[in-house]
Amino acid sequence: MSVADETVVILQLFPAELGVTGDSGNVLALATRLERAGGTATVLHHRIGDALPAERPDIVVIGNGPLSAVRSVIGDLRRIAPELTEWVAAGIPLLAVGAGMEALGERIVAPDGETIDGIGVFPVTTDRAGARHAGYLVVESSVGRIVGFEDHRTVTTRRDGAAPFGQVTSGVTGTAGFEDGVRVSNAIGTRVQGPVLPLNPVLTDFLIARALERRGLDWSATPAHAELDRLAEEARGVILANIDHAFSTI
Amino acid sequence: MGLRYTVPILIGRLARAVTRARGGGSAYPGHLVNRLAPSYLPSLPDQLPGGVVFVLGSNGKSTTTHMVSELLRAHGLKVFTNPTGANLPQGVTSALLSEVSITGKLSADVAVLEIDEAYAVKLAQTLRPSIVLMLNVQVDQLFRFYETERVADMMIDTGVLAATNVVTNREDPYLSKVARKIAGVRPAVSYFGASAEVVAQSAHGLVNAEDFRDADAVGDVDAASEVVGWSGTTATIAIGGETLDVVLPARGLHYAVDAAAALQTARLVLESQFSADRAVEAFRVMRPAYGRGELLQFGSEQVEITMFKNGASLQLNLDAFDTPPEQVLLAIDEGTPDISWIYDVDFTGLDHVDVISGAKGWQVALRLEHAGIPVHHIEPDLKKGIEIMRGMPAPTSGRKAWIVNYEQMMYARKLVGQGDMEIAR
Ligand SMILES: [Zn+2]
Repeated sequence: MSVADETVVILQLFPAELGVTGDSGNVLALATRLERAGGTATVLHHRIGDALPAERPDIVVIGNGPLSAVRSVIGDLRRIAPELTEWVAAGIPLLAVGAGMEALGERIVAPDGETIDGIGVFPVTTDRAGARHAGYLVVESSVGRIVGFEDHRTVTTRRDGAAPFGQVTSGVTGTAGFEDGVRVSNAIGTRVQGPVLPLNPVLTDFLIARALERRGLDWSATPAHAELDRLAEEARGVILANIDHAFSTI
Repeated sequence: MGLRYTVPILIGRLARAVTRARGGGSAYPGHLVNRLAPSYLPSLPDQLPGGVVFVLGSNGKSTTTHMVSELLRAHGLKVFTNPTGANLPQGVTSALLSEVSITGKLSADVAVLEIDEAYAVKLAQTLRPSIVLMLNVQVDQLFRFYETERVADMMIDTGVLAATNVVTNREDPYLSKVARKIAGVRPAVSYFGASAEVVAQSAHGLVNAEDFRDADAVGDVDAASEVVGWSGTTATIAIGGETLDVVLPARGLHYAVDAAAALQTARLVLESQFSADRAVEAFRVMRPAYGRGELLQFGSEQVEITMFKNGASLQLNLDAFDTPPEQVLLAIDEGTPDISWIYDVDFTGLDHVDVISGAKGWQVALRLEHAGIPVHHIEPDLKKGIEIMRGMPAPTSGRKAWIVNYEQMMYARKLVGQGDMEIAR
């Protein structure tokens, strides 16, 4: 049996509210890689008030957005929290970027001191009154080297014993030397934008492989992915060459 | 006015001559004068019988500033305005340097100024605008502003400082709510907009940012100036009981909406002097603002330059192509820090791209590979990219389009020998 006979269901949570940093690109990268291997990808969108799909999805994606967007979805996120928690515990791969990771965490502290309770899938607390970090970064993770862009003013604190996604090793935004994100089972939270998956096929392949191994299938990149991989490699190369580029913010 | 500004102005002009000779930027002389004579810029509004108009927005500031200026000139007013992008305090003062007498006297009836959102409140306190025109809030420059709602608040906080009028976009989820922030009768709020039928004609509508903090829309309010018909480079705009057929300076629904905004603003400045005939004529002869659908002579060919600065403006410009352009150069460089948003742009208005250029070219190529849009050449060096375009046969029909971010536009202009900032005006 190969992936050619398989349909993989990707569920994107709150695409309108949490999707300002090209987060649909993460979904597109997953779908495109599956399709180039002859598989079928079905993309489902969960919007506020929607019923969750009757069957567990294969991969879950949640993106980035402003605090107002988090406030607008948090009630619905709490409603579906039991299922999300159960999926992650069962090993369903999940990618959460930026505010999506924060909302899946335990708590967000707003700049004015207001506290927003998350759903606790990730054992993290986010302080949104940190210093501004905007620029390229490199994260060395257990999945591989990840390259992209970060843009936030947060400090994420993991509970004792919780695993980060990786270690920031380069960049001029002030996060180098610190840990990025969080990992629980096959659920990954990160600050890396770009979007992260098209730029980093190694992470896309990790998520797809975790989804397919649940069906007893192996997954690895094939010659059908060569052009995607070549362009991503070139794009990462330019980012690494410009890693010290300081972007002015206000 | 008086002699006290003469020395700072002469120093500023000297600085301008020096920076120009070096081919440098135009903001430094203004910065110098603002430091030497902090009271000079605040003296500007007292010299202008017609007052000061501010133009704010994520997209369309330059175009609309140009439209308002040309509409007022067509009615005989002498207009002071700032060139494209010179929208910080130092940019405004730099623009003044080339127009004022050595005592600092400005001979103009009215100032129409595009203003950077981040400096708008401070400049409103300095320049005391009578009218503030607010165009739109789009997901824009997140690296700079971090959150879109901050930008919305910067514009709204400026709008409420207008002495007489705020002109705002009924179709913008954030800016349409400005009246809720005004306690008294001043400034008066009026709206421009586009009919639902017209908005539906554009593949992705107006691409204004959604307001997630307050979903309670203003609802069914009348627009004083409304686009009721649009087709490519022409629009029908209903204003003041009349219906005007106007020619737009470039293709796209966003230009039609900018035109409606400019008409309402000009009408408020001109009051009873406003003439529909003069307004229509002003649009007929108007040239595009710098880099907005502008045609450049390039050898024996004409190149249409489309500049974008964010996903929304790129989407609006792609949606404006009635057929995919025959030859396309697409260039983005490090002037646009984070381009994650390219995945939120629907590129299907293009059936191919001939050359992708700029330092971020590989990221764009990766995006288009995901969209299944063929790319013929990836050449990060714009100079070489332009040579490839130049080596192609002249288009048989249709156009040669260069779709570029601001920095690549400036560089491209330099490469084809049209690099002067002032050329558009
Ligand atoms: Zn070619």
